[in-house]
Amino acid sequence: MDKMLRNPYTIAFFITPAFLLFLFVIPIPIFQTFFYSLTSWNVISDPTWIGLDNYRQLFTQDPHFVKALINTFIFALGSFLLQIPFAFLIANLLLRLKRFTGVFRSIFFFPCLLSATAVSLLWRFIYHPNMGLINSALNFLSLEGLTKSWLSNPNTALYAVMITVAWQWFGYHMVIFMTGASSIPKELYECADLEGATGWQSVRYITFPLVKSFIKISTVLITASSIKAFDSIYILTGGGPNNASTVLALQMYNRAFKQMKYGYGSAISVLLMIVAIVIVTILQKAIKIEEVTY
Amino acid sequence: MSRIYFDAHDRSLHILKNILVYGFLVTIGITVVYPLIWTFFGSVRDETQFSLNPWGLPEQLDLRVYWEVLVEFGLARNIMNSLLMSVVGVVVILWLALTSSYALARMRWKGSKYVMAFFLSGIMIPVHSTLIPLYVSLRPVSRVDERLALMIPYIVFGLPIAIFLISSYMKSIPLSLEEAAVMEGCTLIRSFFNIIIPMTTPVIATVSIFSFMGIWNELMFALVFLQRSVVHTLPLGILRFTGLYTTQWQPTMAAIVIAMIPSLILYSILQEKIIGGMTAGSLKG
Amino acid sequence: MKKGMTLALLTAVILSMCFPLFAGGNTESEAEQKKLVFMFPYDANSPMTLWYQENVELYEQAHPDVKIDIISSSTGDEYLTQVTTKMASGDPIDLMQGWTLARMEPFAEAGRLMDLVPAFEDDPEFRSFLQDDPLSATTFDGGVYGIPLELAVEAIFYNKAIFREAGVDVPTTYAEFLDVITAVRDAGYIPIGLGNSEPWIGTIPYMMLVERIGGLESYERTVMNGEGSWTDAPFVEGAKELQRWIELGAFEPNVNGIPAVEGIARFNNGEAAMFFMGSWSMPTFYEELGDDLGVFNLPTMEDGKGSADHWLIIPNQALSIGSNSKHPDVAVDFLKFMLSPERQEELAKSGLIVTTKVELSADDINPIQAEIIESLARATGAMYPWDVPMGNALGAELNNATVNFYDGADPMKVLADFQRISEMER
Repeated sequence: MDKMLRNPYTIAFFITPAFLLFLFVIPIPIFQTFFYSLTSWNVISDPTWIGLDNYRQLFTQDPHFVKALINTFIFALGSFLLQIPFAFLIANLLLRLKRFTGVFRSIFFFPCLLSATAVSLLWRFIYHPNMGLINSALNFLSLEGLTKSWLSNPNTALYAVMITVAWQWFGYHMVIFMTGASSIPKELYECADLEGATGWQSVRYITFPLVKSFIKISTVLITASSIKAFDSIYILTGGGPNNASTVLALQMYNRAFKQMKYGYGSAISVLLMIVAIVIVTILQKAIKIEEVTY
Repeated sequence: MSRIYFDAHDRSLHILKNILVYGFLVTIGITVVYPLIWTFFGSVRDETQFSLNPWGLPEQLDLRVYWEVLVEFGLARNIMNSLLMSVVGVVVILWLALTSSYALARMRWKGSKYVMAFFLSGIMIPVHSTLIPLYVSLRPVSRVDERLALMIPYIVFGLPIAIFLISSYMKSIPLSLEEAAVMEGCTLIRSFFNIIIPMTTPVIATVSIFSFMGIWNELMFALVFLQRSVVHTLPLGILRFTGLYTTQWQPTMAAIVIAMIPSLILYSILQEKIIGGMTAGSLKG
Repeated sequence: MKKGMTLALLTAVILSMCFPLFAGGNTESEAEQKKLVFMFPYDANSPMTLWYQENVELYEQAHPDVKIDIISSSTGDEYLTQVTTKMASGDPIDLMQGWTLARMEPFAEAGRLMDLVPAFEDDPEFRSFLQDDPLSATTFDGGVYGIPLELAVEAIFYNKAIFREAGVDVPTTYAEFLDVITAVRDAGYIPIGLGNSEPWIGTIPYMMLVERIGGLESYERTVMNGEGSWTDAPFVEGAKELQRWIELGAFEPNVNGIPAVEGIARFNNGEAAMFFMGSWSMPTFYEELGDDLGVFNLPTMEDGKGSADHWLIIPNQALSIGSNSKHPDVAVDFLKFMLSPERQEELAKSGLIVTTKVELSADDINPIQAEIIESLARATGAMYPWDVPMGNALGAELNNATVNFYDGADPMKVLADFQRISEMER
């Protein structure tokens, strides 16, 4: 068997198509992005070489960049804290239920099937300062003091977006965890039960270690998607008010596509990729993941 | 799992726990479902009524807007385009991901770790920054068919997650099954088809849903690659309802509801497999 | 299971080979047909989209050897992305609707647009049908790279019925304007409707105020030439006046969080008395308010250098010909067709204020349109809305900065910050 697993022809058969396709589509544009980041280019003329000027300007002169950088970190880490523990909790609760597991699972999963555009339009209404669901509810409960203009208040804008995104995506991670947990044989739980373990002890000593790799997946996914998070923020706040809720992805889009400063935008792209790698590395070290098999 | 109740106190505690758990879950359920119902209501209500009282119930169920949206605004054709691209995309992604994951999860070769990292790095890429270079380099394919050109990035963007999920799942399948098959004279490829793939059904179902959604809802690349309106996908169709200064809410909401339906159907079909996978887990090993 | 997989794979392969069948005529016999590619924004609510489609139909009917391929699927920023991506890929664009002033400049400088001066010289009659002033917005270095179709005006639209109810008339002095605000508010209406989720809308009153205080010269110095500073007195005073309006209750609370469409709805529903907006919205307003619709410009201020006869004017929606067009003569012909008296008359009837010397009778257009056209004829000065000549980047920053005024921020600080940003963007 071992020899079969090392057969180079078999390996090539299985991996080459995906590898080649991937090579063509991803790394080449990335190199092009690196290249453009060292130029000044408005897309419709030829690029002019300016070396590291874009990066210099970003770090020393551009006030929005610093804000975007900070917000990107807040958004990524905040989204992780909002969604992953909650999704894990719900996944476990659902797995332990005797009835209605499927119903709940379908309901919670459903929002992630919607387009981010649709969800954002929806939540724009919910956050409306005068007519929105949240402020209406607060008024109804005589808590008018708590009402805010959620999306246009610099202090709350970013967090409002994070909540919308969490609403949409926690079900996605929940399903990933449940899929992972499904590979754990029931006997393990039954054994633990017979030995008198409580529910939470089962989770801590059986579920958690064995789905660690899936938690790792979710971590990477959520980090990457928060860092790239564009659609929701764009539609909910547009990065506003006055760049209070802007993130790197938004800055990149504005500079490259709205302002036709493609070189500058590419520099932001490059930094965005670096930030992504940094955050994921931090998170992975923090969780100390090893693959666990039984 | 049966529990032995030692006394009434123990049992009522259990009931209380159940109530709390179910109550909690139902509350979350409401926060998820209510906005969606509201969207549906918005699509059947008259526009002026809606702006006066957005949260009220519909006065009457006027479903004509759905017909308008599908036929007059041509959303039906957009749906066909989206369906075509999503289905083909999912099949190709599954094929490529299953084969690559098998090579990465099972086979031993130098560099498998690097290739894995290579694929996973794809998740980090801010896709917008690859838009212009990809559009320019895929232009020859665009001339044949714009949708074919768009499929290529769609497939590649869907691969990293698919490979991640599938290879993780595959690793947890014990080798013993395949070893047994090999001892009976199976080739690796046959054991791939006959053993591995059936056992990965839950994750295949999961990946199918995710890949489908990724393509179904994608907007930015579609906007740039698909310029001829006959090939437009659904998100582009919905965009037509929002003008620069006004938005027609009724058709927009109706379109959003329509856009949800195929995802919903697909999920209902596939979730059987996902459930099946969870109970089948106990049969392994 | 193996059969299942093979089947699925085969299906995928076959389906993808079927793509061309679904393409709907990507390949055509181009033998004698001249194909033109025409790009313009798609806005379901804009009469221009319909007008363009009509133009294409009529022209194709009159010229059977010409086929015009329309690319129209987005508007606003998405449209900009579509245009620039198409240009970057080198595909020929024969005709397109684009922008003016600083937003057109990069296209002109990059040589993507055809200079129309030779076409003008060949056909003086055509040239004389176009007004001179709008063309200055598309002229760069002596070359004319497009023809604006719309001469939009940003002014104050008002609801005559509400004014009557509040017992006020169109203000002729600035003091009267402030009185109007108070009177309308006391009558229970919103004096000025505004949904500032799109910050350029909230910038309109600000621009008018600064002009009334500092005159056109402060606009020229700071906005156009970059010689003055944003912290100059008229800019700071203008912001303070705006904040005075807010104190008088001119706007709804939380105006920065209100969606733009809602602000417009307030005016259309008769809840708001006044609305600062561009004339492109005037057809919709007229549809909703009918004879109750009126328009005026912010009155002259007593100690100010500006005047109510100085209007915010923007030549907009410029039609250009791509420099890589394969059939430039046909493209020019089609352009002339769209700018012919007949087609221009149709366009004017839809409510747009056109840039050609079309003759219109009072029956063709609504009274507000006539009033605006008349005011333009009497105007003694004009400014462009500032974000257009300032370009995409700086213009957006300006609009973002003015949002802070509505939040009650200190004008001096906001403007000092903006001054710094404007230096960086240069």
